[in-house]
Amino acid sequence: MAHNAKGNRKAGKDSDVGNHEERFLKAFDEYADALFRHAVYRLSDRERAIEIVHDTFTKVWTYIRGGHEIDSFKAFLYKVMNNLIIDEYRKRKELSLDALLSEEGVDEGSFAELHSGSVEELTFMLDAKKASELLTEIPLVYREVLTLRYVDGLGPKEIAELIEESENVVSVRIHRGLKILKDMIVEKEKEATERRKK
Amino acid sequence: MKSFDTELKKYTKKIHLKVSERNELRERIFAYMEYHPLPKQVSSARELTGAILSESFTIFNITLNRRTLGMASGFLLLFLIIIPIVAERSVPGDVLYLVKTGINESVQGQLASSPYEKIEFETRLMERRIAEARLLANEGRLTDEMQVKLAETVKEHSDSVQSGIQKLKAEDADGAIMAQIAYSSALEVQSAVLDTDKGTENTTAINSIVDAVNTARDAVTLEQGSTTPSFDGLMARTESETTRAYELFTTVKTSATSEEVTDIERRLSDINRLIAEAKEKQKTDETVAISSLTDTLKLAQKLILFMTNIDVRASVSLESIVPVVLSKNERIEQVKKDLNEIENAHKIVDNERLFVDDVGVSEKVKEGMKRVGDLTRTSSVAIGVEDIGSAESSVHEAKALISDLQTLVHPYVKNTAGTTTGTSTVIDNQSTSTNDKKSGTEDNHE
Repeated sequence: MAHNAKGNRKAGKDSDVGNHEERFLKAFDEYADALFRHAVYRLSDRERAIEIVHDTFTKVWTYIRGGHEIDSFKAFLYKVMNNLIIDEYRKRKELSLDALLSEEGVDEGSFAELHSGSVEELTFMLDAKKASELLTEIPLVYREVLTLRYVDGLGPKEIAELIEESENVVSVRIHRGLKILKDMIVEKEKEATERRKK
Repeated sequence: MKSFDTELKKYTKKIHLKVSERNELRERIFAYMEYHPLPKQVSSARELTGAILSESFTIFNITLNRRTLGMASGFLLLFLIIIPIVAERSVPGDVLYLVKTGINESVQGQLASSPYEKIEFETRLMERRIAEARLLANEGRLTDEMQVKLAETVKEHSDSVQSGIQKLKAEDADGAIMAQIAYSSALEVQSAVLDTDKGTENTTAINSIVDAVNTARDAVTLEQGSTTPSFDGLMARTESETTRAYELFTTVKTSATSEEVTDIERRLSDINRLIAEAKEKQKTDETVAISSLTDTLKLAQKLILFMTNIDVRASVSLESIVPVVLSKNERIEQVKKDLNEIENAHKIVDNERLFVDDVGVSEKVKEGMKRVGDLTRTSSVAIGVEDIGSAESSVHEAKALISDLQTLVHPYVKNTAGTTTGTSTVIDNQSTSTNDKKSGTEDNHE
């Protein structure tokens, strides 16, 4: 696509074009899988996840075409994809995150249920394999933060920046999400035990 | 014991793109990048404004005294900037017309690097010739000789476009189809513009140009029907044109009236909605999705032509070339509104039938009203199952029929007020009996 031309000035411009394309394609090679995985957990739909990843990259390319620079591809890609996933939820007429938030009664800034080491205590007791299977079944607002935290490996601060919430809210949601996962695992084990008895 | 984090990550990593999925995704994104290349020199492209986009300007380094340098600059300014700008407005018969066609357009043609851009350029030239012909015809300056010459030139540009498309087919089949669609959009717009001259004193003057355009339009329509683009290529082009339309709208907004802004906004919203519908449709029926997306692309292209071409804007309304596309809900609402109107008209005709003393006519009206009833019931049922096409079809037939029945009974109605009643489908209830007034009120509480 980009051609090297005569003249330093023109070559400079062409190499800028080449650099943008290279960086972009490199970002695809590096993050496409991770983005896909994230989308699958958020949407529980493999085919839609592929489309979301496609749309994410094309939107980012359009942004670059507009003359904008991207410092961190990873953060930007996650941000764009997160917005697309939220649009997807709205299209499916699922409850908005805000509505879920009010339903679940999460009080921004409330640390009442968190105490030192409480998340670690919860995760210590959780079966990771079962958690990975049930992650797609927990409510959206918790699925978002748990996926970003445990599937994508982002810290609470990065998650807070991405979803534009405070770190407090992120931490509370992570804690509650893990609790819900734990309760679901316990419930499933009970059902399995009941079935074996029969 | 391994941490929860590590363990969970190990299990979640089992979800990943298959090699084939990854490769296909990469190809699609790469295709998108090719259809939407990065501008090589964004800043210098944005500095150029006005009618001329030309690289013919050359700066010479000459050591001269101030006076000579001033004169030389003056001549250069005149010949390289002022004359070409003035020449852009010339028409056949003007002194500078040769500068416009021989130099300006020739230079602009050099800027077209890709085959697609060359085809676009030839299309723009064809549009220019048509605009020149219309301008001359309006001023009464279009001689037979000029008309023949311009018609020949229109045909030459049209032939150039067609041969460019054929050449492009060999290396880029999708690109060739996109060029064909763009060309078809341009021809349809020009056809609509020339149609506005029908019935005016210009009709005979530009007949041969009208023929040339219509022949080209029919030929490209036939050709288009035989080839199908890929969905991804079509989507990329549609998105690109839509982006361009939005960018133009931002510029146009500052000078357009509020009504024009509303009209254009509505079309842009229709185009976005149709794109989303095509994406959905592709999952179940790609052929229909491609057909629908092709129509959407043409709407976007015609909208762009409307916004960028003064001659088009001055000659035709936006609705005539880019009609509003009603959403599903709007169509349903329209059908319900029509059914309401038909019901009102039905009651009026039923009352007016009492005045008909011709047995034959009365029977005919009775049969007609029964048919109207059947059609409205069919339409209501169709709405219930969201078969909007059938609902619209039935309601259109019912509307036409009730209108005919009104025309049939009208001569028999005794006019008590001494004024004539209207024959429109929706009849003003206040001009009829009190019975009708009551039924009209009842109808409003649906």
